[in-house]
Amino acid sequence: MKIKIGVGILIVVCFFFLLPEPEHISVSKKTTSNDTFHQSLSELNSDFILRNINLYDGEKLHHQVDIRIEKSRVVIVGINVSNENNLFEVDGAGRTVIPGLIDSHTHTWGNALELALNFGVTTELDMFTMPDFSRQHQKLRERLDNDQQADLFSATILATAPGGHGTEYGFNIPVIESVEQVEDFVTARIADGADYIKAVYDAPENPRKHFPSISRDILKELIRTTHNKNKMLVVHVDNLVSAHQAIDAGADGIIHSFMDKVADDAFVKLMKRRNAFIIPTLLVEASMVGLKPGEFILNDSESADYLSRMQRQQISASFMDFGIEENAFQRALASVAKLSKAGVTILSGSDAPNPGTTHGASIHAEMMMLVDAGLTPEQALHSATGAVSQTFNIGLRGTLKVGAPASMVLLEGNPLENIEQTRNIRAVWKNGKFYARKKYLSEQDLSPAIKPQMISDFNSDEKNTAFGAGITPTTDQFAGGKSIVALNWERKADQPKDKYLRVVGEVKAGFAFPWSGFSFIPGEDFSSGANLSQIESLSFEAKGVKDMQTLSVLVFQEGSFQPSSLNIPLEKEWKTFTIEFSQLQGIDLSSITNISLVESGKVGEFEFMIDNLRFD
Amino acid sequence: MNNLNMDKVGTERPGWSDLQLSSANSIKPGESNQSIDVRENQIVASVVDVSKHYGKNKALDKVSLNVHCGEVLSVLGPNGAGKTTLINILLGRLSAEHGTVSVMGNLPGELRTKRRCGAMLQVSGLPDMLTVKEHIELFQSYYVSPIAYTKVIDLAGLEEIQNRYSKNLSGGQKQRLLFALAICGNPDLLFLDEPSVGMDITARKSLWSAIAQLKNQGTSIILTTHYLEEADQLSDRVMMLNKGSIIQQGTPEEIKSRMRFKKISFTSEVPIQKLLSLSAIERVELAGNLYEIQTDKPVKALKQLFEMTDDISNLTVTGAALEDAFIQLNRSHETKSEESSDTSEVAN
Amino acid sequence: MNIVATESQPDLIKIYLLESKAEILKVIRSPGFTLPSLLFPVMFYLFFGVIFTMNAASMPTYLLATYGTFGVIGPALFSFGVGIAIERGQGWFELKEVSPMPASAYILGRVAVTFLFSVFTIILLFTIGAIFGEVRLQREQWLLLAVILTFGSIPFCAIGMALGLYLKSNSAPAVVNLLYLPMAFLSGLWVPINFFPELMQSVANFLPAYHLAQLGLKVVSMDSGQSVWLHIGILSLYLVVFSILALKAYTKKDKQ
Repeated sequence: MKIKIGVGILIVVCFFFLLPEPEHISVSKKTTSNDTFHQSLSELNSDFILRNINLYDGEKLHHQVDIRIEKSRVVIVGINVSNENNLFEVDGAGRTVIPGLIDSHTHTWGNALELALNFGVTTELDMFTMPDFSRQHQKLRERLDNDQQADLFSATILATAPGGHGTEYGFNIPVIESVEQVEDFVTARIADGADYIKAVYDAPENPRKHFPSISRDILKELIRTTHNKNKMLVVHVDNLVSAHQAIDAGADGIIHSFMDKVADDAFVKLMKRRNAFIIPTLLVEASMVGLKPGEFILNDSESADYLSRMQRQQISASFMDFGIEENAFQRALASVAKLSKAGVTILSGSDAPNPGTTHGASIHAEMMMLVDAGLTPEQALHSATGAVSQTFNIGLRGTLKVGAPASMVLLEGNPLENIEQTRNIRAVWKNGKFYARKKYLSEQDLSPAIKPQMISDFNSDEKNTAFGAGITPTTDQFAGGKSIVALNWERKADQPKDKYLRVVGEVKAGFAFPWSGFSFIPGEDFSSGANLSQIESLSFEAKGVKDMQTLSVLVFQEGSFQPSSLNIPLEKEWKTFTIEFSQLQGIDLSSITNISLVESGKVGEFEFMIDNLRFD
Repeated sequence: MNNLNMDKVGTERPGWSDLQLSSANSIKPGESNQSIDVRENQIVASVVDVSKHYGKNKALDKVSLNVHCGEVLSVLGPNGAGKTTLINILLGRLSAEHGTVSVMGNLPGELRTKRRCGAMLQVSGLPDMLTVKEHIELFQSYYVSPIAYTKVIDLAGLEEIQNRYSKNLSGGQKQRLLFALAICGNPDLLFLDEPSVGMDITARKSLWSAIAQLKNQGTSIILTTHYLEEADQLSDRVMMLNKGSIIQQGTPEEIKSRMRFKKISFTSEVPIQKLLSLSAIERVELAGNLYEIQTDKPVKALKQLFEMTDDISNLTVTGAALEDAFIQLNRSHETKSEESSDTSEVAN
Repeated sequence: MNIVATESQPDLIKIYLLESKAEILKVIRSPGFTLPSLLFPVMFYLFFGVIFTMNAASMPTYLLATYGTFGVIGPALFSFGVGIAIERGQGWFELKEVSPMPASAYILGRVAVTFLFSVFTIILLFTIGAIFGEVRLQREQWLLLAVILTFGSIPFCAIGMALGLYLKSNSAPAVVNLLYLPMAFLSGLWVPINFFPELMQSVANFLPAYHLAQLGLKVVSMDSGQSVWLHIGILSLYLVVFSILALKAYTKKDKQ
């Protein structure tokens, strides 16, 4: 009998030694230099296998696994996944893959979605932008080939009271005055493509009022209507009592960790009971009290090169002084700690591009702030990945579960041990496509300085200029206004060969600061600035048609929508004007994106003529 | 004790069948000087004042009983008399509500107690796919000093079927296997619950001879049976239970002697009506031309009989068999009791 | 001469070996009963894990762990639950009970059968997984998975034992099946748990089979991410609770 048992055990042992083990085809770590590693990563597109990685799938970390991507989607995560189709594969050598990050609070326009992707943010949840922009980009998110920018979800226009927060930016937005208007407002937002509705609410009980607010009844009606239409409603609040009332009224979540008081137990319980979430936006809160916790990123070796000039300025920018004491920010941190401890869902949002924040880079700083507040690195990472996926209706974005589009980030280290590792990016894939991160080398990368020269004598019919992207009409329609303009190249009566630019238009009410005129784009495109550091002045000939006509000269620098401006009086005769750049306040000539000559302020028809625009 | 028992196995006594009718004296002459243990442990099991109820039904009512070393005790009684309850209490499967029970000086059901006991219970089936031999060897392993395998086979009469699966055994063969399992551990106390059920007469005889052999070796045996002949032949002592109480106790002879009746049997062509007219005759049974007459005045009855006819041959006069006693005692007990004799015994 | 019998002990190891051998022989000699219960999980795995798999790359590995679980808990529940109930019905269990067999031997014998079943099932599953499902695991993973599955059947032995001691012999097979099959399904042994609605997923958290499967899946990093200690804890809890129930049933005198 003992012999039989022995033989049996022997057979079983032999059996286990016959079982097949995976073949090792992966490249060993030692032989892969960083450059060739990066090179091979860049070849991983739409169908590939990344082996031997730690993979955080948005919910949990899998140690030493492989991930196979097919048709730009995650097909399998496992150990020694097979490779029947001979897909290109790379050994990740123990690095960490996380889902593409989600910034749950942005204001998105321009090239924000590209900037976001440059830092591994593959989805942005916009909390107020103009529908013209969002509609166009929301459509793109359904496409797997939308691989050069982040996906956009948007609230479109926020719901606020006349004169309430959201109206101060000058955009002519619809506001809600009565309960009766709510239904139409929500219907209109959904027609605009809103994925969820954002409301701004300030309870009457809050003693410190900054703006008028919609009433509690309107808020309730908004929540009811929105929920009836199967959308979520999030509420911007800046104080505890408003937050409490908003959640009590049935809001799905609140935005901003208020600084007036630390969340009390009743509120924490309420949040927990209602399963509500909070997007604390700690970075922007810090910025509001004058702190700059996100500024380190400007000098961070892993991040600095990937920040555009505009982003650098946004990060350095400050709010005007709200008069909030600095330690109020500690209350925001304390609330987050309390809510997190109670198990309330916390989502990472940067509120970019508010002063102190920027798209993409700031979500990394926000996660660090959340860890400072008391979240574990895993919770912080979850707040920018899986937690958003669970909270908002955004599909499998923020996860790397089977079937999810392969939007992911390869990190050198393990962010679950140290959240700062999220910035240590080795590669970004958007929808399975390797994204070549854009580097902006700070000083030496400036475009060569433009020499003093004629910009345009307008003798050509075309909008081209001697350098830069040319002449283009500009009106407040860009910001939702109604002003119109037409540019005409016309011959001078006395000198048929010499043409000038006749600008005809009408400044119409509709935007808080209406304008109409033309722009000269000195850089290669709208967003990249030209280096005018060797230019001292701008000169041109101009002529008006009315008495007391003024022309505004607006000079924009990269990353800023606040121009430096100068008004000049026009006469009914041709006259040469010279604008010394030294007259303009606080402008960095090394990066100018736009010089506009416009009629502004005064509503009505206008006409002016320009010739021989030049730099000296 | 082991060695002692082993010795006893070795010393087979010729003519053991003579002992069938021997008295209840449990200790044989000559054994008494073999071991002090035997005398000291004269009582192998004792039940003192034990009661047991199932709901309203009284299964045992203040029963007291001693089992002596080397004794065969038969427990008789109709269904529901409390036999199985008593056995189960001795085996430790049931707890006594009242009174004390001790087996081999220990509590019943303890492992050390069980190692010195063997039990043959009524079992409706055994694991099909083991052979007789495997069953026995397994049970032998439970005991410290089991009887040699060949001896077990011999005692239970299983030589020819030791490699047969228990699935293929007849009812009687199964009983023999169960008997083998009960005795294989060389127990000091053996419980036999209806051991000869399903056996033919030859098997039954050899079972009896095996039991007697064990008894001779000093094994104490508690036997329940429906076959009164079995009890009559094997027992040193008979205990009759009815409705949870002991109604009679003693050697088979003692019990039988308590009977008033003698049995007169003969063959005759005399019509039965004529016999019924005789005053000394209590009861007459006729099978073919064989008469059996019960009487409490045998001399008078014989006299009347011979006065009536000469046609009498094969005449024998015997005392009553245990069976007769049993029937009679039960009958008298039942007539005393007004309650119906509901079955209160536990179904196995 | 005066060796006191009550103080000496029979050879416990020998009893264990013989008891296990007897139990194993009983099972081996009843192929009509043994083969179907052995092949059931294996066929299931072959069909759903290998032939009709939804995802050739991960499914065979995933289902190897879950059908392995399915394959080891069946024998545990049946050998103990149905086996004991039937022997009780025959009166055989009582005969063993009054014999000096140590209760541990009885349990061990049936554990041995369960383990033997488990090892056979595992070998069959692994063979099919390796050959037809192209499952590739590190040697340690193969071994660890086999060990976890084999020893993971112990809590189910306890559950089976309690069932076997409480159930009647004629209803035991039906009751055990009624527990076994729905538990297997709800624990995600047939279909990965994440295909279920969330409510069902949370139900699984209370089922021991789910936790054993998760331990197995952890070996191949396909588990749902809960702590090892949670799984082990809940399995131990089941083991303790059902062992106590079984002990209560066993030591209860006056069985009716």
